[in-house]
Amino acid sequence: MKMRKFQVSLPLLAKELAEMANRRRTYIIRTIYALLFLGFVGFIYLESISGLQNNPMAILGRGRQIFESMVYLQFTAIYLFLPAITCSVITQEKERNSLGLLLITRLSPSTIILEKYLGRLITMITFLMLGLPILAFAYSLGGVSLAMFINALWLLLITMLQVAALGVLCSSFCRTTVSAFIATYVVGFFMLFGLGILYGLNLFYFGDLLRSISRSLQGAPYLANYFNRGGEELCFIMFGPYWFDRFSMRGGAASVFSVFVFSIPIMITTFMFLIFAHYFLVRRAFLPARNYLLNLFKSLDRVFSKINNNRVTRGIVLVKEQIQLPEFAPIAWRETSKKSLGTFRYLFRILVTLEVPILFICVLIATGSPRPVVDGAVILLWLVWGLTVLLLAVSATSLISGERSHETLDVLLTTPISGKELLRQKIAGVKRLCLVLLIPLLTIVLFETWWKWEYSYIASGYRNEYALQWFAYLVGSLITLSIYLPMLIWLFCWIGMKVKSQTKAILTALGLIIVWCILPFILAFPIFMLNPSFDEDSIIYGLFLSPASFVVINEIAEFHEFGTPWIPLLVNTIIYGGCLLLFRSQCLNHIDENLGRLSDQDIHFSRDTKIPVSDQPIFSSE
Amino acid sequence: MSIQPPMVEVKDLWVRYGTYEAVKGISFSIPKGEVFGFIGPNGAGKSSTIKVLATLQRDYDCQSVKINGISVGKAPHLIREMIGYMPDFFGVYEDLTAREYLHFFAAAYRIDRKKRKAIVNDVLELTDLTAKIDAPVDSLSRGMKQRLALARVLLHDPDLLLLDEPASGLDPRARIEVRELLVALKEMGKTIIISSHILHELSQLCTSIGIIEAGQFVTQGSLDHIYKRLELSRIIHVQVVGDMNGICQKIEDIDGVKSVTAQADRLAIQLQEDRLAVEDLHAKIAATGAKIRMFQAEAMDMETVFMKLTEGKTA
Repeated sequence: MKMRKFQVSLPLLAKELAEMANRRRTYIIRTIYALLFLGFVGFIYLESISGLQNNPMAILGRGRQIFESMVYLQFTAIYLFLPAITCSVITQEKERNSLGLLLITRLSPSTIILEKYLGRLITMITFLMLGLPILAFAYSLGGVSLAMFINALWLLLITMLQVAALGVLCSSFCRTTVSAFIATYVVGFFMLFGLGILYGLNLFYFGDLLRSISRSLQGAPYLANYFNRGGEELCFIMFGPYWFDRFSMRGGAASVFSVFVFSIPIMITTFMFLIFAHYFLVRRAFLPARNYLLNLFKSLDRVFSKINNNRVTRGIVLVKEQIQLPEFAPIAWRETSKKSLGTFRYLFRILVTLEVPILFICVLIATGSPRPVVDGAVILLWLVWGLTVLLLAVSATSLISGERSHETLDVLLTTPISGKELLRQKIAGVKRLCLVLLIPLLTIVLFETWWKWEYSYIASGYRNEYALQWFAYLVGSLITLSIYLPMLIWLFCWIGMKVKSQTKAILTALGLIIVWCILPFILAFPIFMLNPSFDEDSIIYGLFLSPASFVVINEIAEFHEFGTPWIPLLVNTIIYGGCLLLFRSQCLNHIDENLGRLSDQDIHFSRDTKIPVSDQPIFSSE
Repeated sequence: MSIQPPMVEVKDLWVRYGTYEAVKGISFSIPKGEVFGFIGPNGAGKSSTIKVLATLQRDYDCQSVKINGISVGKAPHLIREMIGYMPDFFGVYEDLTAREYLHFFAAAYRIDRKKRKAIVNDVLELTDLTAKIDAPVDSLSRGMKQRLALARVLLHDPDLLLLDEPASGLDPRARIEVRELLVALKEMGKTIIISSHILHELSQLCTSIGIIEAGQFVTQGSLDHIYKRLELSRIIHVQVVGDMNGICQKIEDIDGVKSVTAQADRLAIQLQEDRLAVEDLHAKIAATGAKIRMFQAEAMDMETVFMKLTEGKTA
């Protein structure tokens, strides 16, 4: 039998790289990233030399500041962009129905995983490579030890490997890019900060447990020097930047060795992620289309029915859901009786599932936190906000893009229903979902208000006077909720109309919200870098260009810079009230244009005579 | 007495997608009750033209595009009441039953609530789906889904049906079912514009056709007219005993024969039928002394017409 010649070829990797090279956006994104990165470095450099009084030699030995900033920026880029880059690596093949074709080739599952993994790593490395000359430049300025340089590169490398491996795992497990995208960020967040949150809240005595483990580790000969922060090290054991921060001040081979030792958990998780990605690749290659939300509700249904069938209630049904045929608003009927996120029964399940634990956690947190600002409730509110944004993004962007994906839009558009009416009916289901999500949000807000109100009697001389202003907090929260929720619905709906594919629409909506929340801070950074003596009070209200700012400030009651909570509230209300009206009008007034059908306002020109069709009679009888 | 306008009137229609010209100034007119077959290769501009008529194309130039005398660009809301559009994909909601699906569109077309049930039953009966009234749409076969889509199109009793590839992807049985349904609609007096690749089906259904290639009409008119026009230069295949080359010149000299081409085992004679009938050609060849083994006039069907007229160009 003729033996096949051994060949080293990476066809999948070659394909991935060729695809990447053929995309115009690759170069655009890389250029934007390089410009941002170099601009950022330029600002830091200018800031470093601004106080050197025309003595360029004085910059020598000051490379450390530039170096550290660069490293943290690279870490941020990895955590922000790499999940988005890697989460589609396998799901894309599943969505194109091409994974089966790959699996029947001679490529083994492990080769497929590794080549795909490498393909996305190279993408990220090309981004990080842009920073290498700057790192070298900072190193050449002095102030950066060789150990620090090695540690930075090592930690950046293994962080990149870990995050990419998580993305590949989620991609291998999930059926769609959207679910993989959400899973990667959610799992990543809890992997990095989950322990920290539990530790901070000391829920179920978790903080005490970590402290006792830390104390026992201090007994070990080598680890004694490192476990001296009461369990904090264990909370951030997976977090590369934490270890860079811990060891950046130390030099020598010992520091490099320590970083290597403490990065072992990161390497183990990376390895585990890849093993699981390999495990799931074939097993979950051909998943049938499933509505996970619907399945979740169905299983919740079973649980609730079981609970209801007892001696006391005997399966009593308070609200009977009758499915009737549509009468006047067929689209609204379908959205509220046929979609899992719109039907009353399932929405009631969401409410109970969210509300009961929230009430329980509120009580639990309050009993352990005798302060007007209840940290646990604040974090809980932000988590529910996150969940709200996620659910609204999925449901509101899918309103139009879902019809487009299922090829039902054209049929709907040839009915006599007007564009505005169509959109209003479409939104009916999302509005219901919004009302349901409003209840847990209101529960937490009311709980915090009550807590502040109670506390204002007990400790009127509390150091943060704003923490006791329960009325301002309540009004601020209610106005924010009443503006933000409809604003998000209209914004997501608008994105759903603009972006053709459902997956892209959801990813765009989530990406846009993240960018909108952080962009004002990134844009403000160069201003302070260029001019360190810049009076920050003059642009303090610029903070509210990020929709997250007021929610955060109101929760932690940090109104000292403003002197009152009412003016920030007014500014925020004006900005986002305006945004709400803008998004709403964009959706309603341009619906036919966005959907691609003729509206009654459209005028078509005759080719020869240039007479608008509108000037011609509607009826003709030649 | 005013003359009734044609059901569809398109004059100098241009559709562009960026710099790509999908439709280049086509004009046609369809009287009421006609079944117009829109034929052309992929990318010829059929769907773009149908989309303009269905009010789903925003950007186009034209001298006029009218349905029942009403300008499409001026009053799309009136046009939507008059048309029934079936796209080249199913366009059905998989989470509904057949009954819910039809009631959904009955409500969308604002059909009187009291009449809805009867209308839904009627269209289901017409499309032979009564037994599937409570079946979920996603459990129906492709053919059934297509019939359900046709039932939906008929709900509001439109004057004009725009059917874009209604038989694509169907098995032979389902195709025959859809064809029979369309014949029934034709008999009901509906005006139908139907685009299809399955030419044999169109020939049994259409009263007139338009062949479009690269955004322009190659020909249009009634089938008889087109056949007759093409038959004017029909090919006749003839086999004679003995040396074919010797007889070639003699045949070419016959009045009415345009050209003769010697092929491997036969002669292909291009005949001008308006000057010489096929039967007379046979007699004249026999009169030359040739012994005829085979004499066959090329059959004229829709596929031959299509292949003769189109060159496989795209816009």
